[in-house]
Amino acid sequence: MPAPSRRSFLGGLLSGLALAPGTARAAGDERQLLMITAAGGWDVTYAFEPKLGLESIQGPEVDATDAEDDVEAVQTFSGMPVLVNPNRRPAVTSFFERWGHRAAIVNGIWVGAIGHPSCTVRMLTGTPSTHRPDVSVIAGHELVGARPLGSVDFSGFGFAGDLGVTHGVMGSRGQARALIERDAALPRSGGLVPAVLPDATQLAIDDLVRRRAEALRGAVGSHSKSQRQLDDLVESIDRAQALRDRGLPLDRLDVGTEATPDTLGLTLIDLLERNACRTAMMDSSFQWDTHYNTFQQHGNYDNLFADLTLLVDELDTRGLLDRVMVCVVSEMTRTPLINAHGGKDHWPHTSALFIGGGVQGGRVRGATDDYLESLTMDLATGEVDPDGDLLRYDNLAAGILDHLGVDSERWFPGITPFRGLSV
Amino acid sequence: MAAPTHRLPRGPVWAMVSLFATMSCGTPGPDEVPSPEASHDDLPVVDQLVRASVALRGLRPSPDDVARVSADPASLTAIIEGYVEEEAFAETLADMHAQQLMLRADTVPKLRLPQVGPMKGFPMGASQPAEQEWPLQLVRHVARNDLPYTEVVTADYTFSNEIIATAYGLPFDPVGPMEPGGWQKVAWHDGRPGAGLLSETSVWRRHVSNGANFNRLRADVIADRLLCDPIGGRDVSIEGSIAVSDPEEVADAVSNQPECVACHQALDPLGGFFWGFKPQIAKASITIAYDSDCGERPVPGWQYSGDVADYCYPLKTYNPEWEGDWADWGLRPPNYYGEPATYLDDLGVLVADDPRFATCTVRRFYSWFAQVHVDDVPFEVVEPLTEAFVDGGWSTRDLALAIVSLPSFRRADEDGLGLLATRPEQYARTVTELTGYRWLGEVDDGECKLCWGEVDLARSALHGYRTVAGSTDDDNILVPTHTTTPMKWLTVTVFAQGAAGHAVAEAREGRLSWLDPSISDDDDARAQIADLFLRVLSAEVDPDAPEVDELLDLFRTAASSDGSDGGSEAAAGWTAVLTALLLDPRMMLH
Amino acid sequence: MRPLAAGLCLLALAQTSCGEDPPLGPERTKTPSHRCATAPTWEGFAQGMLTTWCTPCHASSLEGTERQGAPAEVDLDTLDDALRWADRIQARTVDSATMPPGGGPTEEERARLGEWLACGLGTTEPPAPCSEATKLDGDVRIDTDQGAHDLCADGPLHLRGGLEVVDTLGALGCVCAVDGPVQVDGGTLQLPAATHLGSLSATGAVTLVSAPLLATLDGPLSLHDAPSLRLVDLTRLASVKGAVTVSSTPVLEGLELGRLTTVDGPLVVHDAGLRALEIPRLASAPSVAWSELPRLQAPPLADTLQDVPGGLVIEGVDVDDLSQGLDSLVDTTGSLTLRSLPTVGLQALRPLNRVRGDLVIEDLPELVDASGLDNLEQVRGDLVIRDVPGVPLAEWEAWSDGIEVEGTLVLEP
Repeated sequence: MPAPSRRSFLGGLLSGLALAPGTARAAGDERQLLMITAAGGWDVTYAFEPKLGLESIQGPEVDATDAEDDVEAVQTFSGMPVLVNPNRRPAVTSFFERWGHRAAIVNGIWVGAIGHPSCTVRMLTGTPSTHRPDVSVIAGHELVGARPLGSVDFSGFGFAGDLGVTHGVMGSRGQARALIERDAALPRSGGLVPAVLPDATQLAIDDLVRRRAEALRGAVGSHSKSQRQLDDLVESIDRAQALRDRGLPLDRLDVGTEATPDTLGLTLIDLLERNACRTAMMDSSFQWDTHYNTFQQHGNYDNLFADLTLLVDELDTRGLLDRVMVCVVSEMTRTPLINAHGGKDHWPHTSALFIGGGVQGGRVRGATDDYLESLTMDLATGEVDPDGDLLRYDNLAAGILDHLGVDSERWFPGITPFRGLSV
Repeated sequence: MAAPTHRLPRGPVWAMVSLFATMSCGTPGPDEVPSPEASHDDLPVVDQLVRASVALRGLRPSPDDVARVSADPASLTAIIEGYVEEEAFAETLADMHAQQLMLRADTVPKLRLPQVGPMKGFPMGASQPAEQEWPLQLVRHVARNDLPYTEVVTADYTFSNEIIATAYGLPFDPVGPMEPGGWQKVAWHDGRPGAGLLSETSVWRRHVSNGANFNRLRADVIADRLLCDPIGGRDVSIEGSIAVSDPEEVADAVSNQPECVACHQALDPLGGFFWGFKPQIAKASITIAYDSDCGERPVPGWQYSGDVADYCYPLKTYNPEWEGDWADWGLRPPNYYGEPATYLDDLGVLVADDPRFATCTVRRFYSWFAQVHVDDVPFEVVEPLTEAFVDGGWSTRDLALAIVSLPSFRRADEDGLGLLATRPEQYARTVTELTGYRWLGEVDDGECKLCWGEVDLARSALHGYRTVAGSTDDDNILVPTHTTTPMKWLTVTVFAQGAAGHAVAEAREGRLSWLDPSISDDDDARAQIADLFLRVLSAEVDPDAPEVDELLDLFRTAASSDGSDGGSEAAAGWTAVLTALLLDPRMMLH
Repeated sequence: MRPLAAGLCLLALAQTSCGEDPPLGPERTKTPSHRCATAPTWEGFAQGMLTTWCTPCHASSLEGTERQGAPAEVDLDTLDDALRWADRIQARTVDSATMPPGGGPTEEERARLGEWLACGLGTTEPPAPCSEATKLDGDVRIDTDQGAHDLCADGPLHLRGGLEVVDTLGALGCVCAVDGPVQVDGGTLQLPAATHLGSLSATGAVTLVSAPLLATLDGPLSLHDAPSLRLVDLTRLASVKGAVTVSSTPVLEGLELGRLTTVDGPLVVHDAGLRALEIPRLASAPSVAWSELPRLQAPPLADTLQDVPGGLVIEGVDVDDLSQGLDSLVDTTGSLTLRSLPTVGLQALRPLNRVRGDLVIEDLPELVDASGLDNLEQVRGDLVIRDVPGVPLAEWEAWSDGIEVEGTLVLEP
């Protein structure tokens, strides 16, 4: 559902946008989203949903070594039971010790699909449809305000839908930096250096294109789709110009190289702090799809939570933790039992982790049963309720939007939003 | 007698009401019964030509075509019919299939072919595109020769080039007959049945069968992408007490649990046709194989199907002796939605005979040309197009022509599609054809384990700007963005500047006849600008027109600034003018 | 929806239920026959849907446990199979969502399948060219699908005798005309090419009568005692040289007689499940009776009906406001009887100026506004107002004072 054109706002607001280093906008109710995907399917029994002592579920305890501290145990952090292992996943312990009081775990999310693409689109867009935008894009679009972009995506998983005009697909090899900082290591072209016109000339060209677009408006008449295309063209020129004029804090990224997750995370924090965007998405970059060796999950969780600690520490240091909600999702979890190859396969349920940004920490919402199937809950509170409803991907997406200040009914009509994040 | 008070309309309007009432009560599409009161204004004939040209070829019409259709609008049909006979139409269909089958997935690391053994000489920037384009050669071949589209699932041949022959062992005669691009039509060499795309190694390297998946994902690719039956997208409810990690329990469940049977009754037998393919050939398996001297030394924990030697070049990707191995797992024998069959070529015939294949093909084609999601193609459009497609011998040319000839493509009013965004692939092809410029980049930095060499940055999703500009990456981003975005604008700006600079440089060397970069006189400049309007934008403008004034101003402004290529002021001006034209709304939209 | 389309939708028939999703189940609004012009076809939709959702179990090549419990005789591979099992498909896939057992088809797909079923399970096969029809003497009886197939094996036919179709599902696409009577009992009657029949009678377990090109009947049209008759497609029927009788057809929800202009006998519609009754071009009929139509959602529409010499009876029609439908009934030579109606008003009679027979208005318990009779000036027969408590006697008296009544005046509201 595309929003009306913002052209009437852009001229004044973008020109007034300050992206000076170190400037932080007032937090207030302007929540931002930093979404991290653990693409491939994490095994929730390694942290979020301890399932020790069950024949029906084979968790990390199956892989115990002789090391004295290689012990799976349930430890409670701010009231949240979390599975920890000081030997294999010490970073999980460290994270929840520091930030458990600001974190919420949501278990028992019903995904209802079994393949990566189907699950990913459901978890990110809240729908089974690939041509709907994901929640990060929706929130960015609705709440873009004076920012040059509403949402940015470094993950490569995002769904723009019809909202591409406020969305930035940034690339995984510093492409965004190459485009915005024209002098930054632009790859050579066949022996010829690409002609880089002076900025003033390109600005003149941009102006000319805008005028040409207005002339084309007259030619296409009142055709609504054509007018929207022209709106998006002109708005994109404006936003691109704002990106170039003011720059983005992308200097941590090297053009041509894939950034490490921590570097990327810090870049996203820079972007959010400088109000370059309202939402940002990245991938954890670990191989979670462990069909052949389930115990890779140990390392993945340890690395993930090490990165999360770094990022949340940084958010806190910069005074952003009240404003920025970190949401860590995976499109699925893994089967209760180990397969013949020593790995685990796909399971149509999952969990999510939320930190900061107004989330009521120190609580676990939802749960699964002894077969790792989602239990019903009260969607208003997140409490397990046998007479309640399944927390489906659309309820969760609607709940995320509401929490960020977007009217979810507009995007998910008739879907009950999950309200367990703020109660 | 009182005047009748008609509560319901009569006559022709009534007929229209009745007809409207017969349709689904969503917004009637433009290609359904026309609204009785809407305007039927068509786009100007040149705009129709541009739209058809970009849709069919990814290229703008030539000045000659523009002149011809302007002089004789009735020639539009003949010109457009000529477009589908060109190689560029074959490229368009290749782009479509690449996206719909998710083949140009250069962001997927495990698909890369390690540069070991005989593959050491091939940079990744050559080997990866070769592997991605390999199955698309069949699509190009079908389009180029106007073969029935069913050939894409029944062809008993494939194509080869030097890289594919080295990597996969297919025959290749460097001096034998070639198709465009250096590809050669050859027979399969390893006993696999020939069934067009269904037999293609690259397709099944892209879509793997992990663990106990038993080719279900591959079956779903067939169902979803060729039949528009996305089995994998259906809701899944798994009874918790079923040990899904135990293949025997799964085999039992998919045969006996109603919730499982609903999908697996069709999915599993469809997967039964693919057992001859190796489940996957990932980069790591090849590296491990070479580390063991192709099996000369033992490989502890070897977890891949088949012998270690199979994973050394040339890779052995199909084992005919495995075709019946579904039986070892208690699975259903191969069948096609209840119709029993045995081999892959049987499957191809069954797909070709399935009416869903025809309707899905029409939906996919319409989806591509009209830039709508395949789920949103109206039934009322699909059925008549399908009937004509099948009755007409499955010609992709005829189908494409029928689609671009629909009223929705021609109309300027609200019943028309409206302005369409030029896809990054179309933009790149247009710019290259106009200027000769290719946006290449050297992406390796010093010592490289997997060396890419030169990469086409317009086509690459990993290193380049294809996805940043709004196209798919065929890995996770599966739906393109059909509008302009800020990142797309930044991308095309760089591309346009590079192309303009290249064209001016070539012109200064005498290698581009249609541009004289030394022109600085106003009258000559106006004439050249008008010519550029025609050449780039297919627009016939008077040299004294206001739009020419604007570009002349830009020329003067840019010429008086520092030139980008070493000091020629006029050249700088023409670089700016050409950049502006390459960024014109009529280039970005069509 | 564009405003124009929205407006047209609002004007559309109630049958169409435009703009809202039809609920599944027996109460679902049936597809009006005129919608069938753009209905899905076997090749274009239905075959694919059955292949996707049904033949993985219901296939002739599958045996035993391979069929996952699908009954051995229920195969859905072919169009003939679909014809044979059309009622079960309707019941299990359209009216309910019990097939396929694990769910799957969307509501839209199920509705679309229902549309295909309701529109006669059409195919894209073109009808035989009737200009080349062979004339066949004698009567023809078809009681098997094979018989239907065999009849049409040699091309288009013009039957000089009668045609009897019993418990057959196949279409008789070769029949261009039948000079004698056409009778169908059970199964379906599908005559996609027929333009002229002697007479037409449908009864028994018949479910569908479809003759979309039929223009004339030389005798009566009778759809009677047909409890399973769901769809009648006679959209081009213009002339019936006899009576038209539709009775005891409780599941027949739609009857499109948009082109009917001539009826030479009584027009009786009684005890039918019709949601709408529209005969917009009929100018006169010897007599007309509409009775026991409990599902009618709008007043019967016969706006060109000018005269009914044998009398017009509207009885037991469950329309709560008889507000329209008789725009041309100004001076009728027969009687007019309105009985046992829940209507609150009688505006449909506003044009009525003279009744040359009796005028009987009886048992209208909800009537509160009789102003629809304000233009009546003369009743040549009896004028009877009985059991109409909502309008006070005084009003009736004042009204009747202005009317010339030649027969007996009975005012017993």
